[in-house]
Amino acid sequence: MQPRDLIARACAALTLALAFASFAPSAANAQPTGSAAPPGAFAGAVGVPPAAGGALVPASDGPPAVVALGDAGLTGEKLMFLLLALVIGVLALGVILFRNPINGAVALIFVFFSLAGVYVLASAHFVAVIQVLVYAGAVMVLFIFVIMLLNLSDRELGVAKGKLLKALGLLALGVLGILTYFGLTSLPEAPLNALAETPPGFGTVKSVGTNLFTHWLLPFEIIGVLLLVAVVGAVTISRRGYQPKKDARSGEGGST
Amino acid sequence: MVPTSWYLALSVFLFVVGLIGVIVRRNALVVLMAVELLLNASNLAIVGFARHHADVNGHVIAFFVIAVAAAEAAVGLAILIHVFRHFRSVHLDEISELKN
Repeated sequence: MQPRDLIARACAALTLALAFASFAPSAANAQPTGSAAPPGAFAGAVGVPPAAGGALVPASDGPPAVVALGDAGLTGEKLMFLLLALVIGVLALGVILFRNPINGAVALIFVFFSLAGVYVLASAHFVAVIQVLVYAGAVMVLFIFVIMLLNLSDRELGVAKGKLLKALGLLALGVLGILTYFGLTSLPEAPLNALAETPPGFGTVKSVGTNLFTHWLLPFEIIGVLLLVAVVGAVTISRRGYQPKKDARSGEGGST
Repeated sequence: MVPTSWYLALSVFLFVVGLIGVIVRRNALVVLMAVELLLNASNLAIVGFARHHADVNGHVIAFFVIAVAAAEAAVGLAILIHVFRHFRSVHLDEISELKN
């Protein structure tokens, strides 16, 4: 087995483990209010007891308060988010940096799985499942089919040309770092009205479905029509021998 | 709980990565994947704010964004296949003429 396959399998296992392990804090929060576990109680899935979370001094001096941990310190939820964010960050950079689009597509699949894990952390259970089913399960499969269909040789893939392009790429990554730094420091870390726990039943299929079929019924139906149009359009355009109608005045040859 | 600013910071990071991918890369397939990154970054911001305000309408909007992005990816790839059959390349520098 090639080392690339080993790395791919290890990344897949790690990402799936992280995504499924992140169900635990949301499951603890989704209990009825009578017996709701305190946020950050993260029994056993990650070995960070809440008592030790307070022992980690929030960075008031020394390291900059970029990733200031807040009042509760490093809870299990925050640790899970940081791990998932790290995976997402590295793989998103891989999407745009890999030369072979298949490698980029596989990295993008893992980005979607990790994003689904982040959605579960945000109590968006329905959106997380839809993300896995639609994005990772349908859109990326479509991408990989098309990449295989085009069957690009190494010559057609294109070699990254020139030092100027690489220098510009590094500059762009530097801008990325600066923007991320400002994104982390400019926003208040504990917003005033954010809830420590979401209400029970938040983000479940039932609550989203109730909204979807009452308040958002018209957009829902229109999205159905949109998907139909997209399917018809995609099949029509990618048919062999399809030629859009040419203007009669241009004098070009007729359509095939 | 995870502060909302963390969700937004990750969303900003993903968006800028997608933007760099769209602008810098010359392979049309990678550009389309970077566009998916852009859409996912905004989805993450929507979900983060839905959690901030405990409003489920955000999740409904995120669902619509996913559906529209899937439709757009399908049509975009169909167009790419058609363009590839004509120019025999997915390198954006070689796809240079609009008129047939």
